[in-house]
Amino acid sequence: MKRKLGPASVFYVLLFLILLYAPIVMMVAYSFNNSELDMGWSGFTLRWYRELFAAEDAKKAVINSIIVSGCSTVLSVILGAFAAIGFHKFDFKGKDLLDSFFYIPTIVPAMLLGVSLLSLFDILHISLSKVTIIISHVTFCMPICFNNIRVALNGFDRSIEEAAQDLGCTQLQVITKVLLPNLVPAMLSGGLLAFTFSLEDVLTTFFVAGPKDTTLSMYIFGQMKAGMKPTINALSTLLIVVTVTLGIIMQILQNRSIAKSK
Amino acid sequence: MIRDNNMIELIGVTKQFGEMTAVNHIDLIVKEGEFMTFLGPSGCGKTTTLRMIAGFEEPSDGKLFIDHEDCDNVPANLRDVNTVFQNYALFPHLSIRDNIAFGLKLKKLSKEEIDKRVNKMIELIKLEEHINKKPSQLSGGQKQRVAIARSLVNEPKVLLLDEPLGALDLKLRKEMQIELKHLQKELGITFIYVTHDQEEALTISDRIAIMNKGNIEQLGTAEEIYDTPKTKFAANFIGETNLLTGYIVSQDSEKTVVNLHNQILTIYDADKKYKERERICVCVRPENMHFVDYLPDYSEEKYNTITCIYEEQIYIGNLRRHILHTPEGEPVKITRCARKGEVYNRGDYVKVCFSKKRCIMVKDEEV
Ligand SMILES: Nc1ncnc2c1ncn2[C@@H]1O[C@H](COP(=O)(O)OP(=O)(O)OP(=O)(O)O)[C@@H](O)[C@H]1O
Ligand SMILES: [Mg+2]
Repeated sequence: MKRKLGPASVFYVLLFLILLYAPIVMMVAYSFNNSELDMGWSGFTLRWYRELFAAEDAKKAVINSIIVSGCSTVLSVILGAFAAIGFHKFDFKGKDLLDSFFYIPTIVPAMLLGVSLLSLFDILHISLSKVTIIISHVTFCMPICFNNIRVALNGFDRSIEEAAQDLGCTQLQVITKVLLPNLVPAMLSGGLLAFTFSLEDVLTTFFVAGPKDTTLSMYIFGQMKAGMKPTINALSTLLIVVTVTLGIIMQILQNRSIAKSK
Repeated sequence: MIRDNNMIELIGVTKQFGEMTAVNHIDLIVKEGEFMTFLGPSGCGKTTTLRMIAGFEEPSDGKLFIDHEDCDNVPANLRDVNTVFQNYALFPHLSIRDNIAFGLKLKKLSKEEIDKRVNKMIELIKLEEHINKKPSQLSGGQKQRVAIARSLVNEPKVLLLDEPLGALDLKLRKEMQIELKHLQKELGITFIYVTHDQEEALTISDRIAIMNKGNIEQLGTAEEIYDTPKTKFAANFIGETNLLTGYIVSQDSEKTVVNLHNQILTIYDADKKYKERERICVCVRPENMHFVDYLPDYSEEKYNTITCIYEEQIYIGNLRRHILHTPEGEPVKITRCARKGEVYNRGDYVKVCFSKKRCIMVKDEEV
């Protein structure tokens, strides 16, 4: 039974929503505010967006971010899918242990992950570049994809795989003709999640980025140190639009794959 | 090599899961074009046997031949056998048409050939208007038909069906039973069918294998098993039956004398040899049990007579079932045409009888 909310509850929910969304709404609003300072509304403008698009370093940061997040997402999805299918198909000693090892990078504080990766690269004499950022992002994005695909596989009826084999599929064909096509939604939603995580990461990236490899979130962070600039509001607004869009797409994909498996 | 028409041969096939024996040394021959049913209670090893034939499970011991070929180390995808799964197991990402064409595409047949066979199959299962839908858009009965079509289109030597109608309602189930039987006769494919519904087994099978605890208790046609069950389990599992426990007094070449709680009965069944004093059950079908008062040609010569205590009657359609029990408390059921007007009251002592030729004996054992 669903009951109607009383006035107290409505107030509580409103307060909650305001606390959650007021800062974001403020930021979006101020990105259109015709004033250098963060005080008071002095008219609508697209000036900050124009300034942003004219700034060379901002543009470079965006391109860097697209390269880094794109590559780490693709790598994470591929590696995660392989690992998840391997886990699904084979039983081996220490499977549970390995399973929990896969989750550790997602819960280790980002800074610690950054420090440890930095020392690893140092020991191996790998100079910092976009490649090191990508490797680092894969360490925490791959488990996300792995987990997403794993869940989808757990819900997948084993007798469907047996049916495929029964109709003439080899073990490999079972994977390519039946498992993978059914995992596409999980791979996409895992990939989108990984992409957002990669895009917004500052802490880990900060340690492992080469001097010329400023990513978007690092750029925003760096600009903030010099004081709050309206262009940052504009940039952040754009970033929000991107992540929210990705989030919505992901939700839709997930709902669809849930509806499908029913 | 001798060419007989044995399609499936199981020789001493055993399957163990760790300590537990799921299938215990089964010998079985299924003939070409035969409709064989495995019937038995839950957990008796029906699915496991089927999975060994399909190649999803390897026998722990014994030999398995499909069309005279030893199946040792032949993987499921190379066996000319297809399975219809209980939960359909259709491919969710493919349309109905592509589901049905799946096996043929793997065999790399020409496009025309595939289209021809798929269309014929779709026509046969009457799903023409659904071919472009996804499996999730079909009803249970439709999915079932697709699952059957997806297997049959490959024209396998043997089709294995694991409780394929389990999820359907009674009416659809009955319809599908008849459809399946027709399909099987039409295509001449050997069917091995698993069910735990005895009525279903009686309706559709050429022969039935009654399974219990990993063993085949009896193998035969529906009539054979109904009329001459070999074990107490088989007697109980197929149809309704009265089981009266007693022991053997003596046996000669044509008849057996039995002591049933100090009533001496003669039974013209001497097929099975028993030791003196061995405990047995006399097994009489409810329709072969009569009230002495209402049997015009009753004679002590022809009939065994026992005294029972009347309980109640139940109408079942055009039949009336009378429930009684022996003084020792064993239940006795008598089925009669509903129009006959027997009237007894609860607690009446009633003489009931059965023909000395219309009963058989089975060993009394725990089931
Ligand atoms: N993979 C397995 N691992 C361990 N035990 C198993 C396995 N598969 C089946 N068994 C056991 O083997 C026995 C026979 O199982 P099976 O599935 O063949 O029964 P069934 O006759 O098909 O029963 P049902 O009518 O319930 O489907 C059961 O006791 C079951 O617990
Ligand atoms: Mg079963």
